[in-house]
Amino acid sequence: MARKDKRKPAKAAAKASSPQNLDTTSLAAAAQSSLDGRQYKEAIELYRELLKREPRPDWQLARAEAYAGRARELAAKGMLKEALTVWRNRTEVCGTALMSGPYPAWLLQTGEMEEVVRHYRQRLARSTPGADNAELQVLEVQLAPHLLAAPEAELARFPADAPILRHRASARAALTAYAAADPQAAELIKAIPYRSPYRDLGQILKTLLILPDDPAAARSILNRLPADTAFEALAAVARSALEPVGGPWLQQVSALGTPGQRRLALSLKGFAPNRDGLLGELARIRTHGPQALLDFLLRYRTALPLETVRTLCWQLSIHAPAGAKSCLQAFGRPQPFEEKRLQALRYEQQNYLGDAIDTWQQAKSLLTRGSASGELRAALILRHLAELSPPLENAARRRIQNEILGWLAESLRHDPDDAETVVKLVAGYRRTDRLKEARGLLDDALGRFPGQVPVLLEAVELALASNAYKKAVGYARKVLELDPINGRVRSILGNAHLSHARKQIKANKPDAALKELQQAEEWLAAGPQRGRLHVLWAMATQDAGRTEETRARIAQAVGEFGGEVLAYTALNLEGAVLKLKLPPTAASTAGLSVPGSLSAEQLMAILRLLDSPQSDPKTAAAALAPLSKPLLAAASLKLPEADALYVCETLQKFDQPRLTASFAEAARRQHPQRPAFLYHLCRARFGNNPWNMSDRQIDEMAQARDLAMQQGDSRTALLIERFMGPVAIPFEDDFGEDFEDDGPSFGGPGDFPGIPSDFLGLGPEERAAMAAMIETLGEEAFLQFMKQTMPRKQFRELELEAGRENIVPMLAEMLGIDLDKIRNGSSKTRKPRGFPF
Amino acid sequence: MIDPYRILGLSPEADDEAVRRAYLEAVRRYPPEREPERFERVRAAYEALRDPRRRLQHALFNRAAPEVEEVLECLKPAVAGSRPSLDELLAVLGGH
Repeated sequence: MARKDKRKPAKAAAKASSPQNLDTTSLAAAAQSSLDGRQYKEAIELYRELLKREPRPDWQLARAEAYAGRARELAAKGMLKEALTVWRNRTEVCGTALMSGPYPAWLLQTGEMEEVVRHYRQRLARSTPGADNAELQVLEVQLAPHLLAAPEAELARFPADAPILRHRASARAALTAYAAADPQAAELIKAIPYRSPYRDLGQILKTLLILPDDPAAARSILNRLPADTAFEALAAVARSALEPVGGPWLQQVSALGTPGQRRLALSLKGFAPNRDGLLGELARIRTHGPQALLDFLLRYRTALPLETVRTLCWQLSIHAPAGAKSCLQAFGRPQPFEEKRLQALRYEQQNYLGDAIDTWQQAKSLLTRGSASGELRAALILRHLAELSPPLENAARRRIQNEILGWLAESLRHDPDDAETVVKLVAGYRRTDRLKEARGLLDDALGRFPGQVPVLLEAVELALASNAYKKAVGYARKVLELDPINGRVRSILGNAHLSHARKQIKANKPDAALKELQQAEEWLAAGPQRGRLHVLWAMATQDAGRTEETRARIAQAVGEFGGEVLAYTALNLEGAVLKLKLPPTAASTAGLSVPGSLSAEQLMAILRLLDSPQSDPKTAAAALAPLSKPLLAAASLKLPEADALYVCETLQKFDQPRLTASFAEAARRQHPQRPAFLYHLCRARFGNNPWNMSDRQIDEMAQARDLAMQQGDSRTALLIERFMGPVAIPFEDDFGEDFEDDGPSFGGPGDFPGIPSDFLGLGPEERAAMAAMIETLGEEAFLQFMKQTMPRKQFRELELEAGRENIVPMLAEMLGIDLDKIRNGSSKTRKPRGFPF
Repeated sequence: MIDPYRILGLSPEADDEAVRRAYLEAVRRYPPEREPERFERVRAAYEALRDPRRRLQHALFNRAAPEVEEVLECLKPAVAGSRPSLDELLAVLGGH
């Protein structure tokens, strides 16, 4: 009953608003509004009702317009037959001309040429010279492409003197010449008269002709074609040919309307026309990722060049390991070296660098010693290992540094002619205080690679490290002879003088400091480096009581830094470096003070200045102290993601938990999709005590880690892992469906609760040593060894977290040690997850 | 990174001279002032392939996933492009 009641008002409303129930004024307004709003079907109905009441000519015209709009709407959707019907209805109902507007073109597109030709002949017969023949000309343009393609017999249906036939021969000759690559083609294309229905064909052929040599000009010609050209089918193909072969091109070709167009588009790029179907499928899967591409290649491998397909498939399997088994079935097992190479790359892809390094070394052992190719490959693998390892500056432990340097040195024994590696090794020795070895290698390199700027630059650095300043200047001058604008050498020498000046200031020898600064002035270019020179100058003169000079130098520093804020920061920094009380005095002498607030640009500039090689984190932190208030206020600034990340990382490095947390919190609100900011927030709040986090916070971090992995941000994922080490967080679903679980399980470090993160950085030699220890001592004795060597609290936590019996198996798994092999003496080779070998 | 061989239009057997020629040709086609992005890619491709050591390095350590473009390359015949036949052109004009 209630339902019935509800329906009644709806029915009544519909009845009230039906056209028949509206008064004429409202109906006319509604009809006009529908027409204006392109509601053509509705407009047709409303005008029909209006015309029933009064046959006004303006309503008649409006109804015809509505019919035309509806027909065009259908044609635009590709419903040409329906569009033709509506157009015919329009003629019948509104009395408009049938053969008008787009009607002939639609007929031609649906293959109904006969009707158009008949109309053309009638219209031609009625035409008189000098009269307005615009309609006739439109018809000729529309007929032109079809007439070109029509067999000769068709032409008999046109009067011999029909204008459309007059230029057909020249258009056809141009088309034939282009297809046959006739040298006369350009001339024949040019011969198509401008006032001809074939004019657009000439422009398209010209485009195709010049496309290989001048794509920009070709594009410009095509852009000038009228939007409604009768040659649109050909123009669309030409537009696709403007794109280089690639994803977008493929997309464009597969969107072409007819098979003929697609075949022509393929042909223009040199593809066999029968590749149409195959390319269509490729277009469909092109954004579906490596696995889909691998499946496609495997499916069509017999139709493709075998060697190329094999290479592509194996390469794809690095990213789509689930397909590796199919590769094995399709192509057989790769050669042993290739097998190891693929395994190592797969490990790299997974970010398991320790396993990657081991596997590359196994690959290297398979190379033929003595052969040129084998030696070069061995050298390149060793250099690659060095690149995979952390940079020497970050490799905190001497053992890792030595391992990296050892690889580089060994690589030079295999391939001594690589100057780049020689320079790297010399620099490595220099940075690890192995100066004697560095000098020996460099002396040899200077003889073997004379005139090579990188070698000379390293010579400058090494000479400075050895306190051989004159020698350094000599090498620097040689560099500048070869490369007069080399900024690096100027910077190296200028900074060496600045360092000496600092020592003199610290030793309370302002005159000696000023001498050094005068020499630095010769080398340092304008900008922040010169700004620091002026700051030191101001400090030295302040020390010597030359106040006016101090003020002038601070003013110059302000100029070089582009503002007082940075000059003030530089002054603080130098004070922190020298551990002197001078800067505040120098600052007040020069009228510099703590800024009230900071702009985003100033914030970034301050951090970049403090984040320089001259200042360690402690020094930078001391320099930051006077700026803490404006810095805290700057946390509310809206920073781009990359800048916010840099700010958090830098403040973290400077051990500024309060500031880091403020910036990370703000950045997290602004960029909620980025897990890195949650990491910085938690790191700042909990320091080295992640166990103080609540369960909810741990869950959030687990989600952040998984999200980082999904986003391909393995760095953040790894940082979270390391930070959370003692309170290991479970992986969501391991690494996702890309990884087929058919091998021995070895996930990321997250699978190993409580294992100290220190073990992650162990090199192959130490892993082998660890394996040997487990083997010789036995698991229990090894556990005792761990207990003695690890901090007591940490071992206890590990025991509680993982369970005593699980510690050794987990450690072995994490370090790539085959415990089964040790336990059983049986060999069971590890393999990357999902990989069949 | 897109395969440097594909960027320079080279086969994997290309030697120093072929790499240099392809590079100069590509630079002429995509000068830095007109096509800076393409030029950068060309430059990077040249750096990856300019001597045998770098080419071998690329062959050993490249782990970039092949893209659709590389699959297209292996579908494509050796000729860079070709003239279509008259019949193919006429088919399009005739609406097929």
